[in-house]
Parts: sequence; C-alpha cells; structure tokens
Amino acid sequence: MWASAPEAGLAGRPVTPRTGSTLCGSSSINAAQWAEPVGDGAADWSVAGLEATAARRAYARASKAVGAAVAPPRLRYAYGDAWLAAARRAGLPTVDDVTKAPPRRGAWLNHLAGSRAGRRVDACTAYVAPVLQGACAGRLTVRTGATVSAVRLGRGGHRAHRRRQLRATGVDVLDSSAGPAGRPRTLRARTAVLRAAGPFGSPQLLLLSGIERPAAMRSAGVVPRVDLPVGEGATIRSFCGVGGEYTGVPLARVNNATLLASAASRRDWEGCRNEVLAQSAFMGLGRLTTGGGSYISTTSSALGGPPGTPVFYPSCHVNPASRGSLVLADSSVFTPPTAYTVLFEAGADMTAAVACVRHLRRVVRAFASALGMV
Amino acid sequence: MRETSDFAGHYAGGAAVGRVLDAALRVKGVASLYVIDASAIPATPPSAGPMSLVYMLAEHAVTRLIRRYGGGGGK
Repeated sequence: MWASAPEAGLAGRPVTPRTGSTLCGSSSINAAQWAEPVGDGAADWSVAGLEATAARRAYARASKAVGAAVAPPRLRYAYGDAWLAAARRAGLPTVDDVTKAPPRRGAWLNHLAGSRAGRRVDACTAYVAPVLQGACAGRLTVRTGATVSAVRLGRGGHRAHRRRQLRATGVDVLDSSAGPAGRPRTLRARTAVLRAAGPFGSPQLLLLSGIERPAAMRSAGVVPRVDLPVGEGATIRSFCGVGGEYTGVPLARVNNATLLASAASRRDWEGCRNEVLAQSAFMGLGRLTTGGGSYISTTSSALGGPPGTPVFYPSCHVNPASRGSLVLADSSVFTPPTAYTVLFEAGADMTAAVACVRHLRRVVRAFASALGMV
Repeated sequence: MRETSDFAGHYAGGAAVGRVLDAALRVKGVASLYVIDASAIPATPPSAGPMSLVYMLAEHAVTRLIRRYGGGGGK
C-alpha cells in the first residue's frame, strides 16, 4: 500500500492504492466476482481479431476455466435473497441470469470464481497449476521471490529492417528479499517478453525500461528509449455508499471476516473442513444507469473489523470519466510510483455517485423490517 | 461525499491499446514486447470489475500468440 498524490476531488486527501506481488495477481485476493461488462466490451478497442463474437467466446472459455457460477445451495449467501428483495422494493429489478446478456440495470447475486467444493479458483488454480501437473510441465518454470526491474531492449534480427528495430531481448531480475541492493540477473527472451504485472506493475516496468515521455523519464533518472504516453489516461473507480446496522439476525458468514471473527471457523478452514473462502464478502451486485452508470457491490460483513457490528453496506463504483496518471518517483522498482487517481475530478463522476448513493439509501430503508436494520 | 469516499480499485489503462500498444497488444515501436493485463484495457470496464475482462483478453491473446509463434516455443 502507498499513498497517492493528494486528491483535489477528495478535499485534498490521498487514497491508498493496494498492490502486491502475489503469484497470479489480484485474482488470489479479490472478491472473486465474475461480472462481465455491459455492451460489446472490447469490440471498439481495435484489438486484432477481438470483435464481439470472439470476445463472447473468450469470455465463455475463461468463465469455464474459473468455474464462475452462483454458489450452490449449501453455500448460498445468508442475506442474498434479502438484498434482491430490498433492491426490488427500491425499484431495481432482479436479474436471474446475468450470463446471457449483461444487464445495464438491475440486481443479482455474485457469480463466484470458485469450485463447487467451495474453494476459490484464481489464475494459478485455473491456468498455472494444470500446466505444472501436465505433459508440458517441463516448459514452464515458476520463479518466486523475484522482481523484474527492467525490460532489456536492443536491436537485432535476421533481416535488414529488423536489425534497425528495437526489440525486447529479456528482463533484468532481482532477488526480492535483497531489495534495491541486489545484483540483477538477465533472463534472455528467445521469442518475446509478455508482461502481465497488472495495472500498476506493467506501466511501472515500462517506465523503468525507458518507455515514456522523455521529460518525465529524465526527471526520474531513467534514460529515454521510446516516446510513448505510458501511465497517462488511466481510470480508477471511486468507492462510496451508505450502511445499515442490522441486529435482527446474526452476522453473515463470509470470506475473511468470519475467519477473523471466529477461532473455530479458522481451525476448520485450516483443516480444509469448511468452505468459507467460497463465500465472497461481497454477495450482491447491481447496476444503475444514472449518469455514466454505476456498479454496485454489497456486503453483509462487518466492515469496521470483525466481530464488530453487523453492517449491510451497499457501495457505488461509478464508471469514471476522470483520467489519472502514474509517474515514476525514482528509478527503483522498489519505490512505488506516484498515482494521480483524480477521483471525482470530472463533475459527471460526482453527479453519478450522488445519484447512486441516494438510490442505495432507498435500498437500505427497504431492508429495515427484514433484518432489524437501522 | 468528498470527505468519506475512497478508491475502489479497478485501475486500468496505464498502457492502453491505441495509446501505448498496437492492435496485437505489442508496445508500439518495440518488437516482441507484449502487455496483457488490466493496463492494456483503455478504460475501467463499464459496470463490472476488471477480472472477467482481463481473463477474456488473456484467452484471446494466447490464441493469437499461439497462432503467431506456433505454440511450440517459437521460432
């Protein structure tokens, strides 16, 4: 975690971006939500071959790989049906099947990326582990405790036009435990370098490799190699909502919070005797179309730290119009970049957020009689 | 709202297709350097977390890469 630049849209407060070096990325720590975006999604990105039909097929393959589905009955969310009912009373229709055509407006239960046995399926489980256990295991080496500090760039190739072209020839790797004092090793790339370090990690590595606007690069102590707007134009979601404390029913049993609140639950989990990790902390999802539209996630967990007071908390994440940026603070991969997230800089983002929170207040009020909520 | 809101994640677009990457998800001007993650997505996906979209993009990209490099380690 590190602090962003002070946010003018948040009265000068910084926010705290969270990243990590977990193998297979944030799919191992997120809410395991499988929600496909509205519209054609990727058809207007100009990615070669990624028209709407190809995107639908790729979604289907990925969904199958991670087992995305509504939880089976024994793992149903304690208050999922209550969420759907309250949303309906507040004017948000229930969506029975979000997989056929992602709805622009409505409420539904989280489709989990998980096994029917109740275990999270992250990118490692879905993609890496099967390779390591299969016939191609000899072609994959997984190195942990390593930090890539730069992409090696050079010129070369068999043909004349390729000899002039800049190519990725490998990566410099540091022992993570040694930090900046470590000596880099170079891993040579025979064919190509594929970066999948996530929304913060990949831009940071390109910047450290000399790919960015030259002026910004020189100020960070990096030698410019390619002039491209890396780090510019990024978008990020805001988080705001309205909570209702409930006292008429027990605290919902959910991922993480239950484990922290209950020693017995933790012992069961450590002994693989329950499925609490399959119960996402965010059990209900929804969408509103006001303004640029909002994505809704709801939890019945104790946000203030378990055991705490049981709270139902639906939150708004507007589709952002604001565009931020990521710049290097210095030339070390171990120094977090500076993030300008510019939340609510665009007036439309605040307008959509206010409309969404007002709608969710109606949902919380619609809950009151069912859960003893105030 | 300004005093209590926070950031929810779903960061995207720091090395986006069009601005930084070409149609094959290669860094423009650098042969054989690809970016395949949420930074390649031009903007935070509308009304959804980025997880499914990133997986979809990876599924699509690997199909193209296998076609380009032969799926046997490259030539």
